[in-house]
Amino acid sequence: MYDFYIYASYAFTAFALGAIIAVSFHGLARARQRLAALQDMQNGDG
Amino acid sequence: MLERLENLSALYANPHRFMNLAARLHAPLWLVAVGVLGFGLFMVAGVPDDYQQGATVRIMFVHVPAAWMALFAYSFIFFASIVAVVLRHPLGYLAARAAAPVGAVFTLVALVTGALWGQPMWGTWWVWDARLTSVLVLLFLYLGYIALWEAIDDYGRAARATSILAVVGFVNVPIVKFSVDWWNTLHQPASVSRFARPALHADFLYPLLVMGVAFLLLFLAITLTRLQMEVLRQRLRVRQSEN
Repeated sequence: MYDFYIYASYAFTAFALGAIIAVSFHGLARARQRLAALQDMQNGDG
Repeated sequence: MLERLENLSALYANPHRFMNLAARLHAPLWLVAVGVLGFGLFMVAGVPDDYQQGATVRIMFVHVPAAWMALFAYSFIFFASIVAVVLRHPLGYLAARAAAPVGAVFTLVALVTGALWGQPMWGTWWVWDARLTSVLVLLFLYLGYIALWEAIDDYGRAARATSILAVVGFVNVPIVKFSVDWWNTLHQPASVSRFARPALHADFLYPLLVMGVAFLLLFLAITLTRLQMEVLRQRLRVRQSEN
């Protein structure tokens, strides 16, 4: 009878936490890439 | 004790040392968080229906831990901002900035799952009672904090402005916590914090506590991931400004 409310609660929680986890790991990987690219560029200049 | 704490703080105030420590902690923290979450969900699967609420009581196991984390994350931001301003700890601002989106997500989860629990139990998705309204204000504080970081280009000015907002906004945390005691609300009063005689049966209490620990570990793991990202972004800003 109340299945919709229960499944919707768990689905939204999984979606929201999954999204912030994905965004955080993507941001970390991107920051590492950009820093590495900047270091390569500076080493190339040197 | 205080001296040891100050020494420890000074030791890891160096972002390079912190990144070494974070690299060692990162994977084990994620493994433990996912393991405890899996165990918590396994416990929740075996929970019986409540005699009044029926199966909807299962919403409690995501709603209540998310609400705990919404308050915990803002308290974390408050203390990190205090540490940054008072002790001039370089990681304080970055830790507060890293935790804000995580706290906002937990607050949104608490609001949405609360509405999904409220509709079948109260007959309404939303009421403007003190608990629900103060949690909505908490979400706006998180969003304002995140927007303020993005709105000011100068890092030092942004750090000071967001710290002021974090400290001033902390007044809302006790309002959220005690709103159910100070005002007549549709939302029920605290059930778990009365440890001498919790209002929850052990069948519900223990899975709830395990899910609470799982959400805490998730908060710490996500914040640690984001804090490493913030430290690297800060290095990028510094190096780009040097060029």
